[in-house]
Amino acid sequence: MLIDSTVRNVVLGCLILGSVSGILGTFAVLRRQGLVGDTLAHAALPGVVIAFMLSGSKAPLILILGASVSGWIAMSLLSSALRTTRLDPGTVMAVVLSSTFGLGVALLSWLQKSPTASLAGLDKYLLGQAASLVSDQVAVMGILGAVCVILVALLFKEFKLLSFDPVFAKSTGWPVAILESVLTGLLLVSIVVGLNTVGVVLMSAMLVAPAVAARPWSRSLTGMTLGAAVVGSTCGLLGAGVSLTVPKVPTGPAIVVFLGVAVVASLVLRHERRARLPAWRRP
Amino acid sequence: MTPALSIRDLTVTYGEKPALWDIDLDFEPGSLTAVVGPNGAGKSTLLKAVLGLLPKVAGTVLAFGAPIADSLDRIAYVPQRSAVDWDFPTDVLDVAMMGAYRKLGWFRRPGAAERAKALECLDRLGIADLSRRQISQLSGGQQQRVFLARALVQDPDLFLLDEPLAGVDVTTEERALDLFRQLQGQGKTVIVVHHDLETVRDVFDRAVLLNVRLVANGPVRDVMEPAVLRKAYLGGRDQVVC
Repeated sequence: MLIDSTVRNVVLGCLILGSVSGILGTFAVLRRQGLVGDTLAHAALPGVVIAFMLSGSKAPLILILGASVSGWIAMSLLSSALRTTRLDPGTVMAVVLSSTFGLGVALLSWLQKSPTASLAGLDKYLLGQAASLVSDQVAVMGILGAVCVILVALLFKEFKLLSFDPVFAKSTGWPVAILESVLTGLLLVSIVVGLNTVGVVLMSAMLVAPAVAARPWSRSLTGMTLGAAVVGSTCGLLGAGVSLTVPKVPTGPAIVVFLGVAVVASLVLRHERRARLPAWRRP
Repeated sequence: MTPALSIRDLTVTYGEKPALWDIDLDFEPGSLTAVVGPNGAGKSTLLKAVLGLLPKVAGTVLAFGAPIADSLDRIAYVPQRSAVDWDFPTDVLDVAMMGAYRKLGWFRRPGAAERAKALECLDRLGIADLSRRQISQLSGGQQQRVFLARALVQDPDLFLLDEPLAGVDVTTEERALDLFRQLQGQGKTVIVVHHDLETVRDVFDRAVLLNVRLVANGPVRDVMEPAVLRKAYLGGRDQVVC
């Protein structure tokens, strides 16, 4: 059977992206680290541009590597600033987020002006363009997504303990710092997976919104994780559909509009339902 | 006899400010000790520093004669209730089973044995009927009992409990104090950070009085003397006034 390859790439890409970011976003939300995801996503932009400038290639693996390196540098900056100063985490993240993103945009504009280098569609990384996904990119997304899902499944009990009660985890001898690094690393991977489709600007919504929509309906961490994956991939598909059919609409904003609707609908429905429950059954 | 817990020259600071200054303490196996002192005396800090949850400026800590890092499987720590987010999507049984995670080791999921053990420990605290309840629906006292059950699941020899009786209902308080006596009867060592001077004398056999420095340590009747208590509670206040 012949399916249009663009449509196939987009559907697969959004399913992978939605599930992976829903799953990792659940942990980010429960650990109150939504802003960390936002910082890592914005910090990925200069990495993408610099990787292109150094290699002259736009092979997905090279750009992803660049994004991961600059995301990791931003994360280290963040944690060393938090260790050595008394600044509020939100403030530090705002500084890291805006300065790395500023660097990325500046480099991107400079590249755009230089006559020799072709822009290579790097501006797609700002707001995302699912229609530009090629099979190579989807394959890389699939492999990285599978790594995330397998590691979360293997370390589910460890990540649950880390998210619920890290101090207790440490007191029983778990290497909490290592577990935290692995979880943050996976968060970074999930962000990288979404860069072409959603773009750096709105990637954090892709992490946070599905988890927020799933939270009121979940009685267990497994339920919340799966619920967020379903919300993420559904909204991903809907947004990509709009972006494919309506000319000039970037995918990221389209997906985020659906995510916003999902969050509001979830909270309103929950409120309605709760009002009809007897008091003792209300969560 | 090797002490269950032995602390030597322990000093901890928050920035420039000392939180604990040069503490020496031994806890005998089978003892039931209350750690008391005014706010900011370093009671919670003592437990955290012992477990290596906070950096020490100086000092050594041995549990059962071995470095603390090698003895964590014999110790249960019950943090203050406020340390966690009770809106986390999980139920009572699931939290109690977390006490079994370390013994399970990497990757292995809790199974029927861990479930049975957790239910038994919840039952010891009288909340087995709540096992399927969301933790967001618990009262403060019920939350505390879940934490105590999680510690029992760990099956330790040494219990370090941070304010387990703060803001709980009368039933929970009676259950908890009962449990401490039972544990002592089984030869376990129990150390409880405690705020209520009234109950110390009735339940505990030893008391440690802290105010950054160690003020007193000994049998309850010696430590809980007005003259000794004044040294910790009013002594601290005088310094603030000066």
